[in-house]
Amino acid sequence: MSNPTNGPTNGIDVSGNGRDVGHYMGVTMREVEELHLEGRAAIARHLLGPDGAVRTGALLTMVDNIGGLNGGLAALPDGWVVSTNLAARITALARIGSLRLDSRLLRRGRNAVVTTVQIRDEGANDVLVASGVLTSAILVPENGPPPWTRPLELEPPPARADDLPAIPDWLGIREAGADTLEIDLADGLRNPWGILHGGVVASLVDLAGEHATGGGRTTDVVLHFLAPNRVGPVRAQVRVLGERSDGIVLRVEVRDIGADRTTAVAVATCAKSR
Amino acid sequence: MQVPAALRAGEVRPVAIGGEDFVLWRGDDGRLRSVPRYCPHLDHDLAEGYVVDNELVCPGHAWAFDGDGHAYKRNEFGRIDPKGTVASLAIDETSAVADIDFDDRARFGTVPESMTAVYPPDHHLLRDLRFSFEHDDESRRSRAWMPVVAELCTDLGAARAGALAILVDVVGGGLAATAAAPGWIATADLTLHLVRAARPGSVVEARARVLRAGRTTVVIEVDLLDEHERDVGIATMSFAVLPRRDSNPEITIVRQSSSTMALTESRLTRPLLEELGVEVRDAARGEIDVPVGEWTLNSMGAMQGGVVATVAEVAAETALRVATGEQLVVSDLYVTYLGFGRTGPVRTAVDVLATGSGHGSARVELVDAGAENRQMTVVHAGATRDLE
Repeated sequence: MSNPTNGPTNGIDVSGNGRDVGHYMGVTMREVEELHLEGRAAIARHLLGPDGAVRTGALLTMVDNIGGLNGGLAALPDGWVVSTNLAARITALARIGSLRLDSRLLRRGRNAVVTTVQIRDEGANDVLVASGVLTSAILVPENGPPPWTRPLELEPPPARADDLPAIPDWLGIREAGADTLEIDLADGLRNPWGILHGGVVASLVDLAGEHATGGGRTTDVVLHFLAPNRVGPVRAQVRVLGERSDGIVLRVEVRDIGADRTTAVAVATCAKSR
Repeated sequence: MQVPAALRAGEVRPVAIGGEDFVLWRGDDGRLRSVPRYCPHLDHDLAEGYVVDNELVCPGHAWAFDGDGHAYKRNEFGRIDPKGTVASLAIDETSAVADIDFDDRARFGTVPESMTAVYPPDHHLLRDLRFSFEHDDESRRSRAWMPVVAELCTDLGAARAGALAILVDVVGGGLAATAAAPGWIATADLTLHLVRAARPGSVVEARARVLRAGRTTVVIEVDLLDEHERDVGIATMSFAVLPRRDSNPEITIVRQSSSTMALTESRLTRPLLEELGVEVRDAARGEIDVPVGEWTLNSMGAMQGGVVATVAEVAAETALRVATGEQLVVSDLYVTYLGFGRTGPVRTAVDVLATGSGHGSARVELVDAGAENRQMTVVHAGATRDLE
């Protein structure tokens, strides 16, 4: 097992903030070859939506987790990363598990890293359930990036998945209007940089879409992270753009109300509820 | 020819003299000046230019003309770059009228060779698609319009997602370049979601605004609307901000401007895919070849980003139609740019990700086959039945 050292590293805290989200998702990861990560996650009850399949927000968080870690490894030895764009298409319902995650490096530029992520349901003939791309900006932490032993291998989290609350309860979702949801910025929802975890933002977008469409399932998301959520509460407001044969297309704007700024913009498609 | 002395300071007026088009303007000092009507840089109509002090400023990229045959470029930090000489007319004003000596060629300047190699060339998609633009730097917004013609449409009669991606790329790229100045930009990704069909005879308006302009990235959002202000779709673009190089095109920030690159004769004379030279090698696999030609080049000498999106759109549409047996059209694109396509042909391969009744999704990879199959772009595409 290779783990980062304990404690904050002046800007990045890989042992505190961010671990809660990782444990909640239950993803294990290992580096099968340089900059090619594989992950696995059981389909735990707390990740399921009303239709009995893994919520899109959970899948997006997994994309952010493994794609972000792969991008971070690509940014070494001097840099680490923060997510800037996350896009994914959900291609099948994930009901059986385990989920198998696969992330590869597409491009490592001077300022950005692009990784691709695919998630398959091994119990359903390895069917593809999500295909995504994560773009991350390279930042240079003041005291350097977290140290990792390569090839990287992250042990499974403690087996306490059955005790965990469902995603809306975990996030502390509350309604702030027919088209708006809101959460507080709890410490357990922060990433190693101390800001709201990108996967949590994606889950908030997913739930806001579901809320605004009366139970629609998000099948496609493009999410641009524009600024960090540091203060909270964090609010997601939906605008319906139009309806097509495959669902309702939405624009979702995320704002850090305490900081009075827009922090993310997403375009999502929600399949109509039946 | 006589020009009314009523032309006031700051006014600009086009005139035709001896078969040549000029514009006249009066500077703050009261003197009447002239320059050929179309800017030697990119052919913008100087009749739509504006007067600053005594100079006429081009609405396109703010080249300035002093009326004595000299062109300049002033950047936002005050640097002045000479841009060679241009023609001017000998003007002799009386109290009532201005007389212009048409035969005084001594004052006609020359256009340096480097200035005649302008981008885009006369036959280029940015002209033939007949876009028009408006930019307001104060609000950091730009608008562009594209007339929808049959040549831009799918066989179901609506504007292709790729054609709209070209519009988005142009207006979004222009706005990002101003937001990143003095740095330069490289397009990182482009996304497009369509919700309404744009039919021939209509005009699609693209309204672009800056969502984020940081030290290393710029993010642009573009609303696509029809003439009734109804949503046609929404697009986003991300750009990496790069240090400026001498080879980068110059961008001068102007407060407000309107322009078009279309020439009088500019238009599509055949369907877009025919003009692009699309060759389907294997429909089921979505393998198509598209040459890299002058008509589709961007200012960096590579296939234009919206055209890359169009190529991916066609590949996805082709493969998804075979996979589903339905006449699907691409409604969503998520384009991740990884490298330029400079040599060609650009070659695609499609992985159909999912199909359902009335929809499907695919992943498209584009390589530059002429450059040792260098990876250019990865695209996720979604397709639906014809939009409303």
